[in-house]
Amino acid sequence: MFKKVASWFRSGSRKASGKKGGLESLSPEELCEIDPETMDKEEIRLQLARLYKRHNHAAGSLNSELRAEADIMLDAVVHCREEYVD
Amino acid sequence: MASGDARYVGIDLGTSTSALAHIRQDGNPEIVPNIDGERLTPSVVFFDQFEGVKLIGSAAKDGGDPTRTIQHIKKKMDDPSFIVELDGQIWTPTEISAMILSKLKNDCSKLIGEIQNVVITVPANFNELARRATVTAGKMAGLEVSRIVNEPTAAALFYAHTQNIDGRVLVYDLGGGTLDITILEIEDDRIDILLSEGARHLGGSDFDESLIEIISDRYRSQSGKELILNERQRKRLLSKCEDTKKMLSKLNVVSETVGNERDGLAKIELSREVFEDAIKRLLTRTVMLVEQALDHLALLPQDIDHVVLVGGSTRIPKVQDMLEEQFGMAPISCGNVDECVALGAALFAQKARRVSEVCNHSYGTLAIIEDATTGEAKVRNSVVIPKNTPIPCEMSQIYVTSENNEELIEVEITQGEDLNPKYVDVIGKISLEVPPGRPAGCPVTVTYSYDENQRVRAQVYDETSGIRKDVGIEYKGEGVLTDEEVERKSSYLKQVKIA
Repeated sequence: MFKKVASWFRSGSRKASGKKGGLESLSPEELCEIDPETMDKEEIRLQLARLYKRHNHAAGSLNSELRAEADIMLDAVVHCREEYVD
Repeated sequence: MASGDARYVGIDLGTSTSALAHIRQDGNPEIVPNIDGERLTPSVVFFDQFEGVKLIGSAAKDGGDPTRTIQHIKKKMDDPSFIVELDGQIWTPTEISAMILSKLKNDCSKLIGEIQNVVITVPANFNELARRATVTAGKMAGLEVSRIVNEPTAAALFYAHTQNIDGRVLVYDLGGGTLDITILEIEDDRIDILLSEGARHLGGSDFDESLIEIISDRYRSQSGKELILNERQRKRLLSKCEDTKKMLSKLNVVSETVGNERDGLAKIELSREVFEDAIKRLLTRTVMLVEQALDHLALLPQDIDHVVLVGGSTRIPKVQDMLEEQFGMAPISCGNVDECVALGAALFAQKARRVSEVCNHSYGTLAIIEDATTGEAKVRNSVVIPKNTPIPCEMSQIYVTSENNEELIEVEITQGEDLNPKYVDVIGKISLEVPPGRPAGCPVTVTYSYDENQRVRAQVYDETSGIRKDVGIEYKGEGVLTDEEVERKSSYLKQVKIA
């Protein structure tokens, strides 16, 4: 879907804010963007696997705020996995 | 007393314990005990306040003031802001790790001769900062770190050396602080690593924390009081929980007496079932990492011939049960799960050429990428070398400049495979000055190479002007000591009394 040849991006505004942005106030389902009413088990499994991969890597990031966010997200992913997949 | 120099030495610098191994005359690896006669040295440092001695190992773990005792420092190797402040002095995780390595070097050289070149193991998921910090710790300890190798790779090498097997193997390494999954193929004495994945803060010390919560809750419900009154007591309880956890791997019920000076003692019974339930979420993470590893290689559980257990936490029966359920066969222990990483590291020092490794991370750059369907342009992480590419490797991508009259091309070097730039680390930057007056769309080739020593090089080539720049990439951000700092701290460390 994406062009192989890409344009340059000049450095400057890239770094993510890394702020947790009230993640703690959201439910695990909201954090993981899953809707058990409309998604089947396999869809949920794949979505959680995608999120796990992202945040498991982020848990070892050089950015401490991102690491903190990753911990919250991994907890949410595991919660949803146990609730809707296992 | 040994004579001559020790050849082929490997060190497992572990979260809970560390060990040093060498290759004997008969070609087999063996653990070299420390001066206290122990094969495993607890990775614990006690900062003595009276004589300034730094006690390392069991003496540090078993006695002394918990507030002056540093454990699990390996978990902080990737945290650039973490320091230990004691007696007006500041210590980084690198320096504390260097003390543990110094202890191993000094003690073991008395038995096997002078130790210079070593292989040190690291978790597969260690980031750039933690890998560099490990090498620096080795240097500070007076060691020449010839290679660093991933822990499960070392364990697999030991397993292949001791077991006469061929086929596809999944190494499940659940240690004191991390989980590493490595999938490899063994054919005769050749090992091809296919993939390494890891999860940080997922190991025995996290299970210990879960036990602390259970015990505290039980104490509260029995006495109506809080069990943990201060950090000193928490550390003592944590040490006790480690023992309780080990007992629960062998017994179904364990009785512990816990308490504090203010509110007295209470007898608490803990069952294995309760413990396993408390760590269920952590174990689910391990299952997901195994699935991720299999998915990456498009493998099914039945495509794995052997599941090999490494690391002390694999003694937990539930861990073994879960793997048996996942793979439909019982996992096999890698002999001594606590020692096999050090033994494999020594073998690696001798046989590195027979092991084909993979790139630990993806390396790329930031680029504006257009969605071919919608035409929407977004800044994305564009991967040049994907994670788990066999090494050594060299790969290129061609990009084009986006603006007219660009005179400076800046290439940010990323580590991480996520498309979203938020979730990758920028570990370096190359700037290339190009002649003025150029239109947008000039092609620029970015080439990365990754060698056996896990060193990354980047080359940027501007095809229009013929200008190129080739640099070695080393993360130099927060937490990395300068050469002068390493020199100064190494000299200081030599004067520190380590026992």
